[in-house]
Amino acid sequence: MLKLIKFKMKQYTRPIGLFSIITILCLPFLARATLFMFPYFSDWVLTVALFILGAYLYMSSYMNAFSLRISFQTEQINFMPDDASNMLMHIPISFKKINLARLIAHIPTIIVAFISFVFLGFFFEKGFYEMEIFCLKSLNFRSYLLIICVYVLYLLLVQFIIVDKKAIMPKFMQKIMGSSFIDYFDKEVVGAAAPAVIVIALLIGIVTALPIIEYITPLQNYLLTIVVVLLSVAFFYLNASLLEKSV
Amino acid sequence: MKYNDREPIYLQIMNDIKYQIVLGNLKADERLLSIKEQSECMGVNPNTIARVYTELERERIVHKEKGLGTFVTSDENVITQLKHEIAEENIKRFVDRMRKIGISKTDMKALLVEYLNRTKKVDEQNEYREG
Amino acid sequence: MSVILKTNNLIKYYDEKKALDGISIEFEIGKIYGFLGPNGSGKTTFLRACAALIKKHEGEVLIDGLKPGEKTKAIVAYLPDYNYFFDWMKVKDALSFFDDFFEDFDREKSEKLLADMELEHEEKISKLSKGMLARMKLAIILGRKAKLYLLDEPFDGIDGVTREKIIKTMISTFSKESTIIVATHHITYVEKLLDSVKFLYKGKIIDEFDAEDIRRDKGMTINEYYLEEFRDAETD
Repeated sequence: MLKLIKFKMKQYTRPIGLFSIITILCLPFLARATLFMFPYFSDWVLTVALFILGAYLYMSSYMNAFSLRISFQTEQINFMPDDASNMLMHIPISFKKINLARLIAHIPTIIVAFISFVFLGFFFEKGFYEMEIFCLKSLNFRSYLLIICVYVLYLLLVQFIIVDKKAIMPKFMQKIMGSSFIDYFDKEVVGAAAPAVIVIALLIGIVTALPIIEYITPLQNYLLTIVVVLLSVAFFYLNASLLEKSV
Repeated sequence: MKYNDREPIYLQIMNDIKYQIVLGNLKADERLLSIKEQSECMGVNPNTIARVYTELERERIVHKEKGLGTFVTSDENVITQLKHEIAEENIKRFVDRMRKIGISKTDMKALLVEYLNRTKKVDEQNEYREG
Repeated sequence: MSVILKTNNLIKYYDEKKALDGISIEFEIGKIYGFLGPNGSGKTTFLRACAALIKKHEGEVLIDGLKPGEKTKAIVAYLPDYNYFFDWMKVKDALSFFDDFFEDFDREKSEKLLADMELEHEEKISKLSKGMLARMKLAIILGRKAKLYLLDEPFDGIDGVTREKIIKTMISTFSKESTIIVATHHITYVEKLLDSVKFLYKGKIIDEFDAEDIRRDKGMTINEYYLEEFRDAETD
């Protein structure tokens, strides 16, 4: 088990891992510098910075934790413990342990993101609670728009560059686009699309819950955060047990 | 060693070993390669080699010593017997082939004697030169 | 002779298609098996089910009396026909991985095999040519002292000289306590290697026999017999 955690931690020593950590830690400073150049766009700069932070968390969660792979050809939901048809499925360790190791290895990412978040708040003169409010308020307009744009861009990129002109999209979009796309799938990228769908769903959920934020106390806010975290962990373990049953 | 994939391989290997014994390349009481060594060397399934050794033991051509390996028999009679078996096979092959091209038994005998006499002189000349 | 692998009416669907159509077979310890059939006959699906990579199926698979899972992964060495290594890995990382997670892994043996096949530790696996990757996968998997080896197309992309080396390595890895199952459509390469053969066609076992029996009874190579059987199967 320890060896597994050690193995998953290796990601932080690899070029991409190091690069992203350094970028995220520098993010507050970059944001502050940008603010200096464009002092009237404080909210926008902070939104973009938070968005980058969010994207980082999302991508590393995907790489570390979630990797949902929906294979339309086989009509099975494969909750793979890792991307790439992967070595971890061959080793004599239970999926629960594998997922736990991945969760633990994900902690440095969360710590780095948190540090960045705090520094951003510091540079934009917002306390922790104010930052939270800002996040949620921004989501109702600016970030939401940004996320949709990036997602569409991502799908277009995938369509024309990455996977050899194969279209990859969730079922609801297939219906819009037509069944001719359904013939061509690539598991890897479908796997990437699915978490995006989940994230968007979560965001919509947060947006609709927005009015509540104005009226609850900081304590209730923190409790809400804890509930969300616990739900994520529960999802994680659902992931593991579904994997063991449905593959 | 080139083995024909159309005939049981174990039989081919057995015949090969018998031949090597008769030729004198494998001497009486000599230790054969272990099953593992032999199979690796030949690129043949170890179970096939095991079968070879077992069958050869059944025919008393080799004997297994527990912990030491498989050895060619020390019994010279067995080896002589083998020689005769191979000789008989060679003769059978000769006769079959001659028959196929339509040569009668009488002619076969005559041709054989004539050939031996002819080549005897060449052999003697060679021996004289080497001697 | 005890049985290491046994399946009972194994059925696997992919969508509407039956990849495995009720397979009930046994494999004994201490033998080298050929699991032969054309592409698409279900060989890979069968091996994946035995390697505990497919769980959603009907019927039973028993490896040494156990259902495929965590415990069987420790005694089964599965060689997939694709590159399953992480793309950041170098050869030495693959070695360490196997060393860390498989108790039956003999690092020295794998090192020697890698050296024989002229593969360097510092080489990035994703940059290896098809032939080098095939050699590397084998060098690693044959370093394991497993009870059951499931090799899916081990000779794809391998040249003649290396093939001889690999066959010799398979023979040296083999013991009376282990079983090797080679799934391939390159039958001529393995003629001398196999004890026993099972033919798979469209998810069904259509024949099982000992290699030497075919030679003795039919005067054919396994490959010739295979072509004959499958020609008949096609026309059925």
